[in-house]
Amino acid sequence: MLDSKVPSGPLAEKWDKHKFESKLVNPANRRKFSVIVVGTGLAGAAASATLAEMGYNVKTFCFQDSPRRAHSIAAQGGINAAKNYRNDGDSIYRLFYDTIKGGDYRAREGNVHRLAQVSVNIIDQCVAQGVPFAREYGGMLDNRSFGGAQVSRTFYARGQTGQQLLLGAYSALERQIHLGTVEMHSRTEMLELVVINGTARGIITRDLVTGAVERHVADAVLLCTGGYGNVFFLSTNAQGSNVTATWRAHRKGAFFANPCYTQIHPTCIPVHGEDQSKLTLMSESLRNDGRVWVPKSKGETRRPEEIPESDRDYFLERKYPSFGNLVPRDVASRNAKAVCDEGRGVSGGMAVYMDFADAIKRVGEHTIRDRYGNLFDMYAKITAENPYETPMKIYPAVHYTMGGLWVDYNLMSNVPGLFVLGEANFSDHGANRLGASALMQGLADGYFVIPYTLGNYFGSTKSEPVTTDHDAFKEAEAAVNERTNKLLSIKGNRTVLSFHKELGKVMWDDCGMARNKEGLNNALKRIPEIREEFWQNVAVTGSGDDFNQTLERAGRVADFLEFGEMFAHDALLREESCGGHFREEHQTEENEAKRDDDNFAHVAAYEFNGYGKTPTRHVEQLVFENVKLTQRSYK
Amino acid sequence: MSAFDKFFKYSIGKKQVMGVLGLLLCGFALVHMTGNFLVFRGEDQFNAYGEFLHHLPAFRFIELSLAALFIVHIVMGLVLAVQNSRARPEGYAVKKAAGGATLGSSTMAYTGTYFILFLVLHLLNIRFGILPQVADSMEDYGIVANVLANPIWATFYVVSALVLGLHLSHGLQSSFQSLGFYDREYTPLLKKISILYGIVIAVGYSAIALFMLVKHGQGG
Amino acid sequence: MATTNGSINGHSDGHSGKTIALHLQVWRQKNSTTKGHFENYDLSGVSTEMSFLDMLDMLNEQLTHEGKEPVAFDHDCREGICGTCSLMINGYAHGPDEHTTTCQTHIRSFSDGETIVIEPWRARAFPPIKDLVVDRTSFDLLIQAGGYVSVSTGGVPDGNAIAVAKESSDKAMDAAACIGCGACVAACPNASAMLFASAKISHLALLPQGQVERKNRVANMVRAMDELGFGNCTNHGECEAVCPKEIKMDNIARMNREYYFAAL
Repeated sequence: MLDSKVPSGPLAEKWDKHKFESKLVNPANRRKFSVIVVGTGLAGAAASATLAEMGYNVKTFCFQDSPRRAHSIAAQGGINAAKNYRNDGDSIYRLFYDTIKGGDYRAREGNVHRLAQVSVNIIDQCVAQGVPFAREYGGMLDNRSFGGAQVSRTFYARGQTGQQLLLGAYSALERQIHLGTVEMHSRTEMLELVVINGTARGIITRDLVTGAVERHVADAVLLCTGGYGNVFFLSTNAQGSNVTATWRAHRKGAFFANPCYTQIHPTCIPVHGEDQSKLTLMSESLRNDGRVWVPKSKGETRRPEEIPESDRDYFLERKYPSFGNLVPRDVASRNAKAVCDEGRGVSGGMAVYMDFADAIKRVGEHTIRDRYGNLFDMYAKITAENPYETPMKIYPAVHYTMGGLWVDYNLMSNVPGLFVLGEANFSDHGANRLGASALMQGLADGYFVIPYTLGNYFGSTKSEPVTTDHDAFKEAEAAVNERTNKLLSIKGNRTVLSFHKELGKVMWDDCGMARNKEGLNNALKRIPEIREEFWQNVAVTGSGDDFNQTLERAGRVADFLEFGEMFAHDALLREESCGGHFREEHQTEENEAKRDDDNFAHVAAYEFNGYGKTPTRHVEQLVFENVKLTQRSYK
Repeated sequence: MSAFDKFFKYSIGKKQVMGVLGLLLCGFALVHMTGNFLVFRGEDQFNAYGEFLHHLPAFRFIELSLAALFIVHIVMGLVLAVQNSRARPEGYAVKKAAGGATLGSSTMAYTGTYFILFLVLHLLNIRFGILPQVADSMEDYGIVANVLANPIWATFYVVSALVLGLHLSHGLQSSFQSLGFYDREYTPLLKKISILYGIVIAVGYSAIALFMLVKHGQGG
Repeated sequence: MATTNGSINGHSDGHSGKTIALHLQVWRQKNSTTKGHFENYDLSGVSTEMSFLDMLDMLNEQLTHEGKEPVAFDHDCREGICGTCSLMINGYAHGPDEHTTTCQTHIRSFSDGETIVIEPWRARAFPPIKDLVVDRTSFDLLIQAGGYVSVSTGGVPDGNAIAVAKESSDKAMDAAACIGCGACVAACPNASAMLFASAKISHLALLPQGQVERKNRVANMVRAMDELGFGNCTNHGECEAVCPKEIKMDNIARMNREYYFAAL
């Protein structure tokens, strides 16, 4: 049933072959096709602009007040591309290999190789748009090594690469809006997918300002709605990031793949209190110079500067002598958690030190300021501590979700006409994403993959003429209204926020950095209980026909409460450890993740069976024709 | 858009015209003041200077150009001020300067408007000599003395000098910015020079008025 | 629950700083057609470690418990980059801290018992939506007027085909750092969008890729700025003073130069 549709033939020729074999739509005919794009991050803005440039009729939606504010904007570090400008041995195949290995062999070879191939075009496109990438004195593009990669293939624009790439895509989108080829709906949220005769034909939206519920019809629907990290309540995601669009599509038949794959980023500013709404990431580039440590003994009360070397445990350097502080994200995160579980965490127990004293001694404060000035300033702003004088305190936090709606090689879900791009799909990062690869995937999907695969879909499928008067639209709209009215009519005693926090705590405790059967079963028991209480006792103030942020959030939390259960279910059934998914039952003697390639070298995709019912688990076997599966080792 | 539109219809064009005219008027304010310093040298010197000006070959042209300068600068300033107030129909209950705005910059429209009043009275005082009425025998110095001997007029001129100084303390550097001159090193210096310039203008013109009051007023 | 992933939610670890009481005067406005007014709220037990928006969340929790409608305010990333948050706090755009967005402003910048006046951005080009939320679509329209390089996807030269001097690239990046929050407009006594517009015009004027459309871009964006109802620049520098990304007024000077070179 799950056909990945990866083309046959040698790896390096698959994409070219597929492009050639794809059906085309004559330029004069493109205006006859309409496309709905939901989300305006890198994937959504790039796809909207590109498809409009080609001549399709595009309608684009975002819940933010402007497409420029999608959360892609917050990515700091950079974007990978196999340009090999440094002459240091990079190649498309190496980027492909690193990504497959980094993902702990849980991604499709064909997709990942295509990603590596088009990575080079992305940089060219962005430069042409005027993205101010860092340059060398000779005027050429600068690169840096990132996330432990052994080549310098990361392009960057200071610590704001995501912002600059998004503004590039946003400007291309605004140009098309100006030309009248894209109809933009901001402050508009998608609340239902409309499926007619088994194909995706439209969406139901709510205008967040007026509350108007509207029907939109098209020949294809593209979901570019990002990840679901906020199921944990506290994450580095934006407040508005949510699972609603993909969850609503899932409820209409789209399979959800690998929901348990979550990336916990090791270097975030620790939690400070109960009323905190958000965790802030500190770029992992800091680990190039920062040494991570905790006191050797529990109950240490001295200030960090007063603790002598002999009483410090540089645990990453001790356990991984060759990679040291630069081990991959999942390894760094788990080890920080382990020392905190031993009771050696600092600042109340849930933080470790990241110390720059040695680096400052070695290269001088000036150089450190040059390298990380903006990050140090940000840290100081948030914590009111000076990291030049005292070690930073860091702790892991939820950052990115590798799981998402299942898609084939064409980025189409199992529902024909429903395409899923960027973080919202599951396709390219396997069980763990490498640094600087998220931006690459979002733009690859939007600029260089969907224009071909959508054309192929239109060229090979006959689309029935449908209007918004179709019964399926009426039903979907009625469902939206019913849900809104229900939320507003409960008038309970607990706030939406309190439910979100309660769910987040269960998710973090039982489905976080380390998972086990007992905890996951507990989550599977607790989440439906919280959900039941939510629908009995939530307090949603205001009305449905005006600007109502509580109502917006209530709908999103309601979906997280359904989604969280599937997440825990997937984590329970994946009886192995891989990448970001660490099951305590499955570890090596040295506490490293232990994969089970015989039984789990597959994608798990879930089919919705009804509210509160156990979803059906479908399997797509991963085929490795080019790489050999090995145990990752960073000793 | 036509070149006229570019400079008279759209915001940046208007402020550039304002800037150019403002700079010319800054120059005029300085020249006019230095010329008038001749009152310190006595009646004859001042009258000779007046004679010299009146007999310049293009005197009428210069006078009309100056009038045009003022009128365009004022009309455009008023248009800008009206547009600016329309750009924020509902004001803030609490609004503080965050470090950019100065007394001079935030009072430009008011000091400018005040200056219309000043110009009218100044012309009536000196150019047309009807307020107060001058005697036929009076030469330039006499006309000036006739006005400034009156403490009320003298006070008015001192106040006007201060207002003008305030206006120019922002106006000078603002003109440079509007015309596209900005330099991380020189602009801060220019801002200081602009304030100094405002002070010089205020002090200079006040000195003339006070000097004449002391010399020709009731007590003098 | 055998696993402890480090209790994160609802975890108070004794370094939450001290707590203070605040008196809030918050602008409430039902919608764009209704007149607004200030409401007074008292909030106690506010941790000084909280961000300003955490504090507003706390207020909204309190209001919800009292059966009142929470205060609507714009926010999203809460890490100072998306530009969604706004607010005029005690007369300062984005609050009293220099070059800091509202979401990165912390309660430690306020004192126990302090009265905080919170107003929305006010400008004709930013019409009100509800309470502290305004409509900044005019910024998108301004970008639509020319804030881009007209290249379509595909068919572009190699990224290194055109060398860009590091100095130009760095300056372009300084300007491109703008987050489009609108603080410049909010703080400008004339509600002018010159800093925002000039940041985009400068960014593209400084790069070779922006040259082809350079003259039309500045002319069109300036015209759009006027038509959208923004005020004129009178060179106060309030925009520069409040900009959370430290966009400088030299961008406005550059736009002025670009403008007359385009006009002549």
